[in-house]
Amino acid sequence: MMVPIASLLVVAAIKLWAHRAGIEFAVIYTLLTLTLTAWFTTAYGLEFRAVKQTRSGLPGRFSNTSPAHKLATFVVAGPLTLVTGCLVTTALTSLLPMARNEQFVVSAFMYPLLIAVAIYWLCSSESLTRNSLLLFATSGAASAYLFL
Amino acid sequence: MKNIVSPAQVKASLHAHSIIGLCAGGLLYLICLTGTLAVFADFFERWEQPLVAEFTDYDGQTITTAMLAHHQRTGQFADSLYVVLPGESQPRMHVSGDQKEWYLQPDGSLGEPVLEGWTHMLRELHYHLHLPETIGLLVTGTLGALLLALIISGVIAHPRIFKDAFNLRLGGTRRLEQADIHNRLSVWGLPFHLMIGLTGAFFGLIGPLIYVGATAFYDGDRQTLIDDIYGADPVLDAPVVALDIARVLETQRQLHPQAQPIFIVAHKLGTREQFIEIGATLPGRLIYAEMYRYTVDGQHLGHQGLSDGPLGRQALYSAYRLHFGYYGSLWVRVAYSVMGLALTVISASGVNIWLARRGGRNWINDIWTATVWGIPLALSGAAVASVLLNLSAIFSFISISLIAMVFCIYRKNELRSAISLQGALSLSLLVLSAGFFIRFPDPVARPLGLSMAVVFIGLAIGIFFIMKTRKYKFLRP
Repeated sequence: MMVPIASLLVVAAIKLWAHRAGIEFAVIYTLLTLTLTAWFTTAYGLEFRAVKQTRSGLPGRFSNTSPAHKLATFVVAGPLTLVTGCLVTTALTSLLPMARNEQFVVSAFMYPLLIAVAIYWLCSSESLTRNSLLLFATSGAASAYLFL
Repeated sequence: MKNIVSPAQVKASLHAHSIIGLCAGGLLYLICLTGTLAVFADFFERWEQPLVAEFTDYDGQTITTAMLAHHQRTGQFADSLYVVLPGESQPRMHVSGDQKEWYLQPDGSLGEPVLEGWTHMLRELHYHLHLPETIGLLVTGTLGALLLALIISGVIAHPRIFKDAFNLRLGGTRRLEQADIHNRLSVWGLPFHLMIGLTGAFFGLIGPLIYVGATAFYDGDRQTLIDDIYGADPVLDAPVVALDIARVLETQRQLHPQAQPIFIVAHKLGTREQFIEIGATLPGRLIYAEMYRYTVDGQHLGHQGLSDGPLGRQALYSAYRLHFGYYGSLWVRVAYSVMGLALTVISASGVNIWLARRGGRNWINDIWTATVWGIPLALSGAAVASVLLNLSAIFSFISISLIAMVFCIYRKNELRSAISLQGALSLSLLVLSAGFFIRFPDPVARPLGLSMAVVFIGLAIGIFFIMKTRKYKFLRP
């Protein structure tokens, strides 16, 4: 019961803010208010629990990897991903059916997302060599498309 | 979520979340903390130079006087000469060109030079970590992308994140306590954190994209690409006539009564290409400013189309206000600072969870304590050094950070070290509050000093409270 009422109130708030300050501000104000309200609700329901010992220790993947592997992961997930992401974003957005300047705007917001997904993919996978080769191949293909 | 993501994928995501968090944790914490403070940068600037004349009324003559005074003082007209107009958060004017900047008196004559003090140091730290600009922007932009990667991996790694959305349980083991704080703050702040990560990454990573885009499609001409996106400057070739800012302002008021001017730029003054631009905000719009163009004698040339041009151009030009919260009333800034602080706490608690899960202790615990409590102390100490003692803000910041690090490593007890750093931070905030009135005894400075003192004392009390709580836990059998 409370959820539909709360949802209706949120819609009403957006409508009122949009009327008073414009739709751009209304959306942001609503998101800010929802977050702050949720935090207050969480703080209101705060519980205290007794101290129970939990077993410490990190998963094997943390301790089993060599410093060289860690360094390689950093290089691949860092500079290589940045370069590949840049080339792939530019190549992909250039295929979109829109003006060049609009394509660039799409790429400006797509680039960080693509890097984020690529870093997540690299760090969650165990086969760094295969993924690195895939990245090299992708950046090679994108470069060929853009510059040849 | 349980049905969508397999346990193996959850495990892999958690691993990715930990790796990314550990690599980015310290820098992300620094960026989030400085960003939280940068929301109030306008107020800090006023507080740093409290004797500057504050006023909201100006006319064409004030601006003309300011431009001519800048020319007289520097010996030449800057290629682009800016006069920043008084606003709600900063009721003072300044003129700037060729990296030379002065505050203005109400009649337009030059006042104090604009200091590159503590606030400048804070902004530069947030923008590019005081590294060379190109590299620094790339690093901060990458941190924005890493924040996005953390959000993606965090959501996938926690199948119960929405189920437990309102559960906050404190008092258990440090790991569970920190995990609850970390998850509750992050799940509800997710839309804001996504927006901050995306816009932050955009500022930092736009450079490489422009480079690649220009090389691929514009024969390496970056300016043509930028003009294509944002709109090009007008190219004039007319006889040189005298500056008539009063007429420019009058025409602007008649043609665009809703626009609120925030700055005026005189381009190429004294040449055949000279023209004036008025940057103005529009009600209900997030775009930084629409640029209205005029000849120097007040004929309207058109506008850049940042408010009504292609949608993409409007989106790009809205990123700045959206990222920093420079719009709406003071309450928007307060909300942004709360959100920013939450993101700072999330960064810190993420590494805390990893440390607690790892068990045992070594130098990493000490370095982390020095980061979490040493950086705020260094920022506060740098403000004391810069505002009260006229010392270099960045030098003080780096020195205090290093001292905090050496102190924590030498002490080898993160809890005791944290308590000491918290005590020093509280004390430095109190010194800052009181010292201001000794440094600026002039009654003109009092209102600014008092309002900031209230904030600083509030913060000092809050940190003192945290310190006492931790001390109690530490002494608890």
